[in-house]
Amino acid sequence: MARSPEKPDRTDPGQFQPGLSLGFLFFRQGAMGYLGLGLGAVGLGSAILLLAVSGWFITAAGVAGLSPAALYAFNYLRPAALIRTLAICRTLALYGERIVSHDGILRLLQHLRLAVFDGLSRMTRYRLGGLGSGDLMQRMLADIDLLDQWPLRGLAPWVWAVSLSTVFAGFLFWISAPLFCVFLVVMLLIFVLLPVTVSSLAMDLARFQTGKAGERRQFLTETLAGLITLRTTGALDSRLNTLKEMDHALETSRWRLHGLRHCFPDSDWACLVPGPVDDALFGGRCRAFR
Amino acid sequence: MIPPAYEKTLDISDPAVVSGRQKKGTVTRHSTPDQEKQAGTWLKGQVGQVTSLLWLSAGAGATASVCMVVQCYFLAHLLAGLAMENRFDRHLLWLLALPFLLRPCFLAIKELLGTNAGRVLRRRLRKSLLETIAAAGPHRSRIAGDGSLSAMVLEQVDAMDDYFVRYLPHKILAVATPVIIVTAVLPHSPMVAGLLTLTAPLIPFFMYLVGNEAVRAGRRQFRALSMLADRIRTMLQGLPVLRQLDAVPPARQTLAAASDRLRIKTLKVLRMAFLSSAVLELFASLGIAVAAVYLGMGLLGYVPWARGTIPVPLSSALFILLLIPEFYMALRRLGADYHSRAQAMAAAVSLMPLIHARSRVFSGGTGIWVPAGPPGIQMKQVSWRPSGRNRVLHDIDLDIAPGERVGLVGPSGSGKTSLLHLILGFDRPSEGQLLVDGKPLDSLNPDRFRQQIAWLGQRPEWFSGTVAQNLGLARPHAGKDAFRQALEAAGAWAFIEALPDGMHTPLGEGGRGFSGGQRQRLALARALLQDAWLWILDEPGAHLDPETAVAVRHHVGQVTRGKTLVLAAHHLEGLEWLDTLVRLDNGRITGIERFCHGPVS
Repeated sequence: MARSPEKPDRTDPGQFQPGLSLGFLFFRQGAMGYLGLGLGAVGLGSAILLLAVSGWFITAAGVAGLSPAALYAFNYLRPAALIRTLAICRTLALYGERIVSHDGILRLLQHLRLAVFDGLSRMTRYRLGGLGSGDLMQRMLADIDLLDQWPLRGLAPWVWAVSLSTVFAGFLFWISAPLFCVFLVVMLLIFVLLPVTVSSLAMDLARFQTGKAGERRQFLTETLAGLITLRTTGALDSRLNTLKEMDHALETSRWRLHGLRHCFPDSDWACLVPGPVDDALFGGRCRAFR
Repeated sequence: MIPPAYEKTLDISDPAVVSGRQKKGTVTRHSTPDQEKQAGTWLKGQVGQVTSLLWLSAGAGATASVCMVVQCYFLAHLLAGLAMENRFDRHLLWLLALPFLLRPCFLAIKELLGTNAGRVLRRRLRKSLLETIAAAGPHRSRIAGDGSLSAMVLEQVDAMDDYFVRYLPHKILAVATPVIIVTAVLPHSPMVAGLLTLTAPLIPFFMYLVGNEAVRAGRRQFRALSMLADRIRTMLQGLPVLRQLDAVPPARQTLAAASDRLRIKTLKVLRMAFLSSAVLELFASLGIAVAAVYLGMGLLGYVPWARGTIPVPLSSALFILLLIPEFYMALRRLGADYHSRAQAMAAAVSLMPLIHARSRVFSGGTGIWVPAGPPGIQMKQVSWRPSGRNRVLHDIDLDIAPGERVGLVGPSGSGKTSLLHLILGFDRPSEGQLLVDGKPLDSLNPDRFRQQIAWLGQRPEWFSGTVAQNLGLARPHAGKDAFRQALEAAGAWAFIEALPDGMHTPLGEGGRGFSGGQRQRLALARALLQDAWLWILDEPGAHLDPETAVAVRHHVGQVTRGKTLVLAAHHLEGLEWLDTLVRLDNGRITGIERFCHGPVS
């Protein structure tokens, strides 16, 4: 692997200690990453369209049934075919997305393993000696495997949510500009303001949890190692109580972090907000339908 | 869906596991079906303690499903009114808001109750495991190493959380929600209700078929991962040698080939594993498509068996259409949470040694022993066989008079430490009797009994905190003078006084920051502060240089005058003050020498 001497190698653990950039973890996947995102968007879009087209088809059929002329003119073959196509498209695209994105991730993990090995092989004997073989194994297998969390569970769902919301916003704009504005405000709240306000709190809680969990482990390990002394001095009970308090603090923090998730309303909430606004502004019928 | 025998090693519904990542709580070793059966039974027993909370949680979830049905009903009528009569019913909109607000509330209650059930179980379980470990004392090493034990108490217990909090309520909801939806659909369209009832059992069936194949592929992938791990371990261990031989590039190529094989095999498993979720996806899509086409055609009057009539009106049709995705969603949620069952089983299997150990741990009696002075200890024909293994102590007859200081000497494995552990009450003799002040030791409350003992081990045990916190373990509220007296008597005052923070100097893990000799003197001060009549010492100063060790032993001799003392030792230097020397070999007493103020030879 030829590397420019000026630029730090972001995959070398010896040179890039704080962590890999999140962008690197996506872009190193190459075309597979983009293809996975695209297929996922197609799959989720198909899932939404399947319901939307089905709803429209049923409604249009109901309306067409009111007059014989409309009934005669109604072409039911095209929407029925579209519904079937969307159903198949949804299944295949979501299956394809999972395969493609995981293939990209597996290639990324493979690359990272080799890069870590390269970094370790360039380390000085002194620095290498400072790492136990358990540490090194942890880096080569478990730690690297954790890196797939960001592209798979962080980036991809965010991209899908934003892109599908944009499409829906476009649709609302086509129906009614005020409704679009309302939706835009709600979207900005959900995708920008809420993460900004909640994320610092969530990060604080996450940091607290990580620190407390380490503290608890250290405390328990010392307790186990010193059991005889603790039992002969009668200090075990107070030590177990402290452990219980640590547990309690961790549980409370977990519960708070969990509660923060409820700050993010379901997307269907956001999509339905224009409903009451439509009722308030246009008496239930937005301008496009009048 | 997946045969339980394979669950603990592979969870095909979770790509993370299939891709080789070891989730917390999963075990990489294979467990026997018998172990899993025991673990399953134990897990059921645990669930039994919080059944009511779990049912309440599922009940809240089912109520949320009812809210969802009501919400779909109002939404369908609102849309149908708009489409058919160009009428926007405001009442319906505000009625719709009610279930919309109630549903998240019930879901939050469901989660709260489930979390509470998990918390109750976690606390109980952690407490019980810690009690077992604490009762086992030094014998805990027979169960597992301290690292594994701490992982059992922390990670393995936490690994079961999702099973209690999510999987079990969702298991009930996977039945309740479809039943609620079919019941709601039935009056509107028996045809669609029948379709849903027919497809529901097909989903687990197909997922089972696909899941079995994925498990087979997963086992092959597991071997590839093990090979990669072995290869990496070998290469890392031999990295300095590889560098010396300039053989890093070929090693890198080998690693690249192994990683590539792992990637290909993992992807093969993933293709099968994802098929199982694709089956669910396909059924959900087809369910919506078939129902939509049927309902639409019905509204047009084109259904062959009801030509010219409308079997399902528009509002009902929309209502059904909105409900169908929710019908399959309940099954999908169960599938998504299925890995937590595998995770809990794996955790339960790994906890089994500790749980079984509970029955073997000696819990002691209830008698309270309050010594008025140095106690006498009698051992009558004491034999000890730890957990049915070979006998470690044979027919020990020993009478220790009040205030007598006894040394146990013998080669490694002669039974010195085992005898000390029996006196400490961490186990009872397999045969014979051990009496303290004439009372059988197994009739005494072991916790209260041990608190009357000053203990000094080979390597004194220290905890993160200050010197004062460590010294005052037995007497946290002792005054400064008491601390100073104890430190002076132990010969530790000089170096503690010289420290800038004195007794408030932080003591690192294991006593880091102090030399071995200083730690022994501090341990002696801690024991002195306990002011006990009975002292038990296991080779004090064993890991110190000879001069320091002798000095420490001399100090022990000075401070234990008038106490009953039992001490295990390899070396006799510095132990001239002992009253009696008991020679042990192969678990038997080979000789007893008593001295009257004379030197020990």
